[in-house]
Amino acid sequence: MKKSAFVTIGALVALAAVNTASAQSATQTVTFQVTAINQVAVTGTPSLVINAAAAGSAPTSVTSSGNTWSVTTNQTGASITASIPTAMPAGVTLSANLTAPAGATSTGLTALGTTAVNVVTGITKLNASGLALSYQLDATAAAGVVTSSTRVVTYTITGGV
Amino acid sequence: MRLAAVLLAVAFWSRDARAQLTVSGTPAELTVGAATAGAAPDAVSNSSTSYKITPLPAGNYALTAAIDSPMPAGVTLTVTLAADGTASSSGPVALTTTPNNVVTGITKKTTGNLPITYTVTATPAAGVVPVQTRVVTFTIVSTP
Repeated sequence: MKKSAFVTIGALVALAAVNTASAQSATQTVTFQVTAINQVAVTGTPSLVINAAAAGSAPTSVTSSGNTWSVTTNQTGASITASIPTAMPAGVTLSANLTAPAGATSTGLTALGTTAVNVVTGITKLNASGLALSYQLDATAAAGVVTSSTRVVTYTITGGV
Repeated sequence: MRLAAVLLAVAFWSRDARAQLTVSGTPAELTVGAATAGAAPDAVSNSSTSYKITPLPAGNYALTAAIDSPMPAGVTLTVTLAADGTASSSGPVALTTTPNNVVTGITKKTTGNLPITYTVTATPAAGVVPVQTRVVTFTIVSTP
């Protein structure tokens, strides 16, 4: 082979080596996803006592304060339901009122029973904490004297889409 | 002939001077799927992979990182690379399609196996995001 050919080959190899000596890279593949998330929590242990009335009227209702609830959902149209495990005594009604987070709707003061009922609907892609939660206890005169008892209120978040 | 020999010697010298960036392993799938009521979804992280640089010619270098396509709205992928010697880690860096420094001031010719930490965060507004991938490209660049 002529000397000029060796020179050309050598030059081409040198150029190739220099060009591939620039930035060095490496790659990694990252796999991820976000699944449906629906969480609800409440705070407080309210105590409600009916012990007064205006003469001629039904006993005076009482309302709790200082309770809160919190929610996180990454879906559209989630809802909160509430229920109690056993029925209230005859003539006595326990109701809950949850303040709705932005964009959602509260059903307002809602009587609680053993069948779950909506208390907040239309909760969409948000997290909110410290939302007001109040309970109200009503009693008719016919309820009579009701000894101290408890009801566990269960709140359930049902995810949307 | 002598000139050819010189050129070939230059070629081999250049090849030996190339830095080698190696990343080991593939991180397990990062799934955001939990939250404390009232708070944003919990972030998830993986630190099972590492990187190594060998050998570097004398000089200053940085390591950049980029992904091949944008993350879904409300979802952020960050990477943190440990650094040794006189190099500095940029800490958690949100990855985009534009390369960003993740380690700077690299002067050490060879590093040990240094950990890479990936973290995925999502806002509630991100919604449900199906399984998908992003290819992260790390590049050694010379700096002034």
